[in-house]
Amino acid sequence: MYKYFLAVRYLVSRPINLIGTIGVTLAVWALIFVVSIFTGYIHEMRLHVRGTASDLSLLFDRSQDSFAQVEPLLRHEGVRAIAPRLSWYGLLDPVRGTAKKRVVAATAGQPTANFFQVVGIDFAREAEIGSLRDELEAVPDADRRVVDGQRPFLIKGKQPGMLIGLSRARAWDVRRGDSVALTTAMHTQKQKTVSLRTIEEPFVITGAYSSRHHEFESSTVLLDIETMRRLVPSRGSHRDHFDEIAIALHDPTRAIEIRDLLNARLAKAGAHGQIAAWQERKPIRRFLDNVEHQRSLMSLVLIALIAIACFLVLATLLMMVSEKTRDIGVLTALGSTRRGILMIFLNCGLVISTLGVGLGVLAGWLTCRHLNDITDWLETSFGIKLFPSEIYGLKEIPYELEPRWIVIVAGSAIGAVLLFSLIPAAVAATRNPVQALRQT
Amino acid sequence: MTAVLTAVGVHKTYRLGRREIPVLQGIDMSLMEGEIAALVGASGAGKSTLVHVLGLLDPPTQGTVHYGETDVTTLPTPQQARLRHEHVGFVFQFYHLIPELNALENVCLGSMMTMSLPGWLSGGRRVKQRARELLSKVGLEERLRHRPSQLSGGERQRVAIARALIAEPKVILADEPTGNLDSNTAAGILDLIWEINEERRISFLLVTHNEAVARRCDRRIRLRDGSVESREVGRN
Repeated sequence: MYKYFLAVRYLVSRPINLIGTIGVTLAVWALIFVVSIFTGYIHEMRLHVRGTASDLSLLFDRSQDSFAQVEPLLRHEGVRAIAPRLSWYGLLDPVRGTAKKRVVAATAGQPTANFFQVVGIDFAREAEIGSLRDELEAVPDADRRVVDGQRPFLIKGKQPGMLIGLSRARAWDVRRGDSVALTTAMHTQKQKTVSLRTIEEPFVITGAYSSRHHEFESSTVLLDIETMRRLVPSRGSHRDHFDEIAIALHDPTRAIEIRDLLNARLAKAGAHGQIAAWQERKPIRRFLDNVEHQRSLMSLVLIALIAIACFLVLATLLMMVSEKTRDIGVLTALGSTRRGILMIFLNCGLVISTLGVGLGVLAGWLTCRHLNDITDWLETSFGIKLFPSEIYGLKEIPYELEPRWIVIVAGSAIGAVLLFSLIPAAVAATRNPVQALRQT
Repeated sequence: MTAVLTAVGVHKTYRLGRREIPVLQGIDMSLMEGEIAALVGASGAGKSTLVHVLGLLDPPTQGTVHYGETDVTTLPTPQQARLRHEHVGFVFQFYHLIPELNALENVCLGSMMTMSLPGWLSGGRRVKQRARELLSKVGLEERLRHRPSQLSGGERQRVAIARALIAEPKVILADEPTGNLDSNTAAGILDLIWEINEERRISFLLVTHNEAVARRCDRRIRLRDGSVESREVGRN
């Protein structure tokens, strides 16, 4: 009984022990708070990326194929829809269009030509794959919303239509009806001569799409696949060429099974390309791995805070052992064992860590719950913008409190502090009681 | 009368580098039930060391210590700690109370040593009641909630005596219990010791420099250079 009783009394009577508790609280708070935001961000990004990616994709590295030839090979009871895509890259310059004045004002005269992925789509098929139809309707700005949701590339005049990401349209202040210039180049081969052909073509913005995936919106524009086929001619003789087929499944959980089955069928038929699940696609995997990696690095940095807290506890407990040397002699005289003395100081570590972890978890939970209120208050009161939504493409700071992570953090913090508390506890337990009693 | 505490051929040698310093050299002594014996001698004669050895705080280099009939020197440390708690009480010159605890808690601490948490939850009230009675006995019924820093030297020593009594030991080893007190207060403490001895038949081994106090005891054991120089029986 005295081991718990004295541990609490020793701690309560020494305010300096609060330093250790505060250290543990801060470390646990930071680990829960920061990692929860990262986890929430990853979760949100997965949802957004998932929204722009199909369940499966038939991808080509260099070659192209005829859609009419490949389509029958992809028919399967598990496949809900398929859509061909043709992608290329180019510089999109809004200054050289009709919205020049607005763009210059919006971008403060900074260079605005940006490198974009230009994706040609068959809208009717593409709308069956994902949420593109909803993404067009979800645009809140009336002057950036498409006029005809069934035929979004339709425009009066000779210039072809183009769909631009909402965040990019807002950043440039381009609206429906504005023209932009697309500049690109590609190699062409006539007989044995290979030459670089430059293409410069004006497009009219027919509207914007809102995928909520900021990166995708900022770097991708959509064209009708027929326009794209004219810009990027086939390397073969067929005119319905593509370089990717998006495949939507009735049951996305069967993605791997159907991927393997269709890949086997394509190989047997001698078709080019390889089917990959959405999360296996290189850019997506790289992006998600990158954020995951950042979360791991941040966790490592924050774990250093726990180590600092442990050293604080170690220092304060060593100081306490030094102050309580005489008590160690008295307790031994009263009948305490070495183990009993050890337990007193180990219990001090237990109380410090449990209290610190409890407060840290509570603070982490409360901060996450009220994070957006706090950032709003900081912005309105002091003009401090902690989470610019235009950068992250999210209206609110996402967070996800994972019970497993909280248990890991709490357990590790308590374990680490106890481990460090063992040192002063062992020092106390090995003190010679006779010498301790001679301290006056 | 039976012996409650016996030392047989006790030697204690400390090592200082390569040098060996003999502090106790073959001490033979016993303390009888209900007896108050004085341990006297000049500074450095080995009085405190002998008290520590008898209280199992310091193992003898050679020889044995018996509590009743039991040789306690060969017992494992946890068992020695339990026996020390049950058989022996300590009173120190500088009181050695725990400064964070009040008088009542300091006395209760003497009983907490062998109690588990559930044991305390069920029997704690009884222990507190007993501690209150002991503090009343030593005249501190009005000072239960006072911390050591709020008590005088004499009051602190009374708390220390109550703490030594709560585990109902057979022997109390008192290392100069009045050495830090003025003569009036010291007389009060000594009267209390004799009163307890009368009432409870608890044996006392009093370490003292004061010849008057020593003469008041049943027996005097005089140490010189770590050996028993003389034994004098009777109060005079």
